[in-house]
Amino acid sequence: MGTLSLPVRLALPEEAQAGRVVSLRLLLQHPMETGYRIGEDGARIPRHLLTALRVSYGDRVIADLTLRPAIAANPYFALSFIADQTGPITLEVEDDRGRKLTETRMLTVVP
Amino acid sequence: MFPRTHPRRSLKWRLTLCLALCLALGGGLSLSAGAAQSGLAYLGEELKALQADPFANPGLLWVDRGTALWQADPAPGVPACASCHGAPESLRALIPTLPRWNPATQRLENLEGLIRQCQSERQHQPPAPYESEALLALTTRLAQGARGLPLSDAIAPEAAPALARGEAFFRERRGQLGLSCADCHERYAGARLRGDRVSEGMINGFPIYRLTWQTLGSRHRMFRWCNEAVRAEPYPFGAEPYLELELFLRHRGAGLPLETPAVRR
Repeated sequence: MGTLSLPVRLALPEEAQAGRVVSLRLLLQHPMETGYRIGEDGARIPRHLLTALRVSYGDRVIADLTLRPAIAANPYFALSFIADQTGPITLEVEDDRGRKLTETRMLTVVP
Repeated sequence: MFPRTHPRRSLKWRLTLCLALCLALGGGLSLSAGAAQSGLAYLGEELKALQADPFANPGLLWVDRGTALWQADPAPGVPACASCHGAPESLRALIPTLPRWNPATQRLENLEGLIRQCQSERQHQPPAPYESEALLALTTRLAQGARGLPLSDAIAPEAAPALARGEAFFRERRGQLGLSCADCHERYAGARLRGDRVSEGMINGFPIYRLTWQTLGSRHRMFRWCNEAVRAEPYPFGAEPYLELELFLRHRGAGLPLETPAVRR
């Protein structure tokens, strides 16, 4: 199990049939503040952005995303892949303030 | 000619200008008819689907957090919400009756006020500020527990003057644009406002995840936003006029099912 330092909702089946498509859904709570907005007090709201999202399946990286300021706050990600081996799914998310989310779930593949 | 909209002006400013134009040109058009309709009815199919999605509705991030806060001791030796109340659902019958009249204080109280009161009187903690993540999370979790229950029309006889003041607030023209709540949300409900449709201003989905805000907001935040949009000075969170307006809106939308956390534009 990993350390969840970002509020997150993660949906991933624990078991899948070999050769079937599995979907991973992820909802992150994050302000995605661009640094260009002015707050109520007239001061610039400091930049605060997610920078990277990486998903590994076993020893393969199946998604490696660079996250940019144009992404809305509280972003939602969904990706699908083919279940071909029993192994850990590891999720890594980083933001520009050094906050990190690392979460591992086991995916059991049945024939 | 109208001044060119400056590209760095806020969305609110542009909406405001547009609101004035539409209402000026709209003349006599009235689209609201029949029974009260939730803001859900004014959404497109995609947002309806997002609200109904038990995983991806962004308001559920606050529900999760509310569940954790409900069960956690706020400080060592201080009982958690759950240790007195049990599950958040134990309060579900209360939620549709808020705001309500408190005979002891002779004032109205809403859900945020009750949570804050419990925090300071029972848990002896500084109450969570309005619109703080903690208060939003607890409010959302409690209201979500009452999903599906209809907004109640039960109003204590002592609250009748407050209800009347709430309705007066709703119908009173305010701000530089001189628009009342009723102008948009009653007379022009359903009409187009740029790419948007004006809803009836119902409060059965709050706290709502609002795309404009890219976050969750309370009823009072929405009142403040609307007041600012007609360029009126907003009242503070939890102010008496807003509690009275909230009471009137509960009465006005009585029977609508609670749908917290709702998704709105």
